[in-house]
Amino acid sequence: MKKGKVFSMLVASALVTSTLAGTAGAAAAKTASPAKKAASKQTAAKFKVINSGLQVDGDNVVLKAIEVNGTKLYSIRDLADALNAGLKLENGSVVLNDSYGYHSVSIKPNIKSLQVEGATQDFKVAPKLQDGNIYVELNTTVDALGAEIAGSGKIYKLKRAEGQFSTIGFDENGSIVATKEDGEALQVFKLSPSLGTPYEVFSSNEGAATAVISPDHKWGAFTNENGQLFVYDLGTGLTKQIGSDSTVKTDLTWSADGKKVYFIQGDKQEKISYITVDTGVLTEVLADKVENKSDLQVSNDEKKIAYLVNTTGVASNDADSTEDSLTIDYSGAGAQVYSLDLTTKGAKPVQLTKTTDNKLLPSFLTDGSIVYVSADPDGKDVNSVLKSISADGTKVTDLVSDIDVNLDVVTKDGKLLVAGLKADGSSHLYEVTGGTKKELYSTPNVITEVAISKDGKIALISDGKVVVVDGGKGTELTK
Amino acid sequence: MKLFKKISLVAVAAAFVLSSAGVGSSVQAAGSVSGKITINGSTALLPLSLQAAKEFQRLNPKVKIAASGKGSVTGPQAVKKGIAQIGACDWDASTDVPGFKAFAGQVANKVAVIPFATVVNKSVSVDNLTTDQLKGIYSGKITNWKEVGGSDADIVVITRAFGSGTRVNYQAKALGGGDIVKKAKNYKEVGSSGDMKTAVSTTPNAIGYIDLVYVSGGDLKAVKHNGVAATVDNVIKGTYKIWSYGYYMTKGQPTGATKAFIDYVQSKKFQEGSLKKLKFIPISAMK
Repeated sequence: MKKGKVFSMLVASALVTSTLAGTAGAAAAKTASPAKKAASKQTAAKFKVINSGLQVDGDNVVLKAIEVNGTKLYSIRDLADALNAGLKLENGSVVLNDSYGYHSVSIKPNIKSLQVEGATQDFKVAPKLQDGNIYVELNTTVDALGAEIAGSGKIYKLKRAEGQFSTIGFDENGSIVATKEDGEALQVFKLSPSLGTPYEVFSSNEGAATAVISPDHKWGAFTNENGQLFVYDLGTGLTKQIGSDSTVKTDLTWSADGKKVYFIQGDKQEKISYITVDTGVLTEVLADKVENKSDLQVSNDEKKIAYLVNTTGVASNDADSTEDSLTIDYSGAGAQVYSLDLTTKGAKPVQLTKTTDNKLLPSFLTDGSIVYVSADPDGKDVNSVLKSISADGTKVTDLVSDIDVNLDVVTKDGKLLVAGLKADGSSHLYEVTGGTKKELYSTPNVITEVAISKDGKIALISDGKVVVVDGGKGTELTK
Repeated sequence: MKLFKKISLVAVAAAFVLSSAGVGSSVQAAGSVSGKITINGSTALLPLSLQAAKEFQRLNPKVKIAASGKGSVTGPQAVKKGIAQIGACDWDASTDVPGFKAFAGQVANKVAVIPFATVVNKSVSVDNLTTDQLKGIYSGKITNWKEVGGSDADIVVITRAFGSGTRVNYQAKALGGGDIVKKAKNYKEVGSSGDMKTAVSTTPNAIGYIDLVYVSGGDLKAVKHNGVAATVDNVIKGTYKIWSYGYYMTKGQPTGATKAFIDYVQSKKFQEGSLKKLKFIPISAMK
C-alpha cells in the first residue's frame, strides 16, 4: 500500500475522531444525537474535487483541490509530495516538515489558525477534511514551509534570493556568484544553478562585490579603497593582498593563464600596468601620459592589449574665471579604441577608430580582431551595432546590426556571444559565428550581463535577476 | 590571509529582508535612457564623472556623456549659461561662499565626499601645521620654514587659481576663512589638481593643497592639520576637518537622462564600488 494511502486512512480515522471529540463532541450535552448530526454535516460539506495544475521548481504537477466559498484549497498530501515535505500525525494535528529541516507547520482541520515554528498564524479559510484528505490554502501553507509562491501557479521549494543583482560569474564548481546591490551593503551571493538548493551570502566585502573572476574560476581580483590589489578564493572566501602598490587601479582584467592582473593605473587613468599574482611585482606596460583610459582587454596570447581613451571636452576661460569668458568645446569628446603590441619593445599605441559614436565593451576575438558595441547617441531609433576591427586595424565591419546590440562577451575558448533588443523590445542572446547568429535565449527583459562557466553553462543578469540558461530555457534563480 | 566576514544564510531563514533604503537606490531600468549629458567644472570630480559615465553607458549605450574640467566655478557657470547640464563643483553653489555668490535656481546634488590635504615637497621636514601657521604662510606673514619648526629655507607657496573649489574649501576649512595673498616671489598659481601635484613634487620647499586622492607617488607628502592626519578614517570620524561634499549642480531638479545619470552616481553600487576605488568617500559615510 502506498505511503499516501496509509496516511489518508490514518487521517480519516484519527482526525475525524479528533474533530468530533473537540468540536461536535462539545455540543453533545446540548443535543440528543450529536454523532449523527456531525456525520450529516460532513456529508453536506462535501466539495467537488478537481485537478489543479501548478509548476514546482519548473516542473508541472497536478494537485487535487476543492473550492470553498471562492477559495481554492489544495490536498495537503499532494502539496507535501510536490514540495518533498514530510507529513505526519501528531496529537490530533497534521504536521508538515520541509525537506531541509528548517520549518515545521502544524494544521488542524476546521481550525483557522496554524502553528509555524510554534507561532500562531491564520488561514483565511479553515482547512477542510474530506474523504480522509485535508485541503488547505496554498499561499499560507507554502509560505509557512519556507517555499515561495511566485504568482501564476509557480512555486519554488525554497524562497529565492531577492533584489537587484550584478557582477555575475561562476566559480570552478559551477556555482554562480553575483552581487546584490540594493541591500544595506553590497554582498556577494553564491547560488546553485539548480533550484531547490539554499543560497549563501558568501561575502560582505565590498571589494569582492566588484571582483573580476580569473579564467580558471578560482579567484576574484579587486582593489580596496586604498588602491591595493587583492585576490579572494571563490571556494573558501580567503583573501590575500597582492603586492603593496597603492595607486588607483581600474578596469582589472586577468591574463588568459591567470598569472597576471592587468589594469589601468593612476589618478587620471593614464598608465597601463600589471601585477604578477605569485610575486606581487608591478610591471608598467604603457605610460604615454594619455589620460582617461578604460575598458582594458588583453588578448588570449597576451601579445596585444586593447583599450578605450575617453577624450574630454575642452573648457576655456580667462584668468579671472569670468562667466562671460567661459566656452566649452565638446566636439572632440568621446571614446576611441586603441591597441598596443606587447611583443615589440617601445611599440606605440595605435588609434583604431576616429568616429564620434559611443564605443563600448571592446573584446578580442581569437583571430586578433577586436569587436565592440557602437551606439549612435543621435539615432535613438537606430540599432546599436556590433562592429569588428581587423587585427591590422585597417578594416571596420558591421558584424551584427539587425538587433539593437547592447552587450558582447567573448568566452575563454573564443566563442562570441551577443545580446541585443529586437524592435518588439524583447532581449535576445546569440552565439555569433562568422555572419551566423544562433539564438541561445530570449526574454522580455533587457540582458545586461552574461557569464560562462568552466564547462560552458550560461548565466546572465536580466532585469536585475540572476537567470541560468539551459537548452534555451531560462530559470530565474532570484526574484 | 584573513577570512572574509562570511555569513551563512539559507533561503529558508525567512526573516532575511534587506531594505533598499539609501541614496538613489532605485536606478532607472537598463537601456531605457537616451540623450546627451554634458558635465563641466571641478577637475577633482572629473575622474569620478568619467568612470560613472563609462558604467552608465554600458547600461544605456545610447546616452552620450561628454565631460570637461576647468575648476569648480565653471561648473555652475556652464549650467547657468546652458552649455552644460551638470556643473561639477566642490561646494554647494546654490549658496553664497566666500568669493562667490549663490547661483540662483540651481540645485546641488551631492555625489561624493572629497578630502583635501596640505602637501609639502619631500624636502620639507615639517609634518604638522596648525590653522594659524597655515594662515600665516598663505597670507605671506610666515615666509621661512624655520618659523614653523622646519629648516632655514624660504617657503614656496603654491595655490590653485581663483575659481577652484579646492581653493574655496581650503580657505574656508584649513585657513579658517583666511586670505591667500599673491606674492611677488616664492608664489605660484596652478590650474588643476594634477598641476598642483606636479608643482609641489618638483619644487623644493614648496607647500600646496590637493585632493587626498592625489597624495600618492611623486615627491610630495601630506602634513597633519592641527595634529590630525589627513586620512579617510579621520574624515569619517569627524576629527579631520578639511573636506567637502562634491556636488553636481543642475538647473532646477534634474530630469530625464541627467536625472538617471545622477541617480546612478548616487546609487549604492557606484558609491560603494567604483567611487571608493577612485579614493573618494561615499556620501553615506558622513553621518
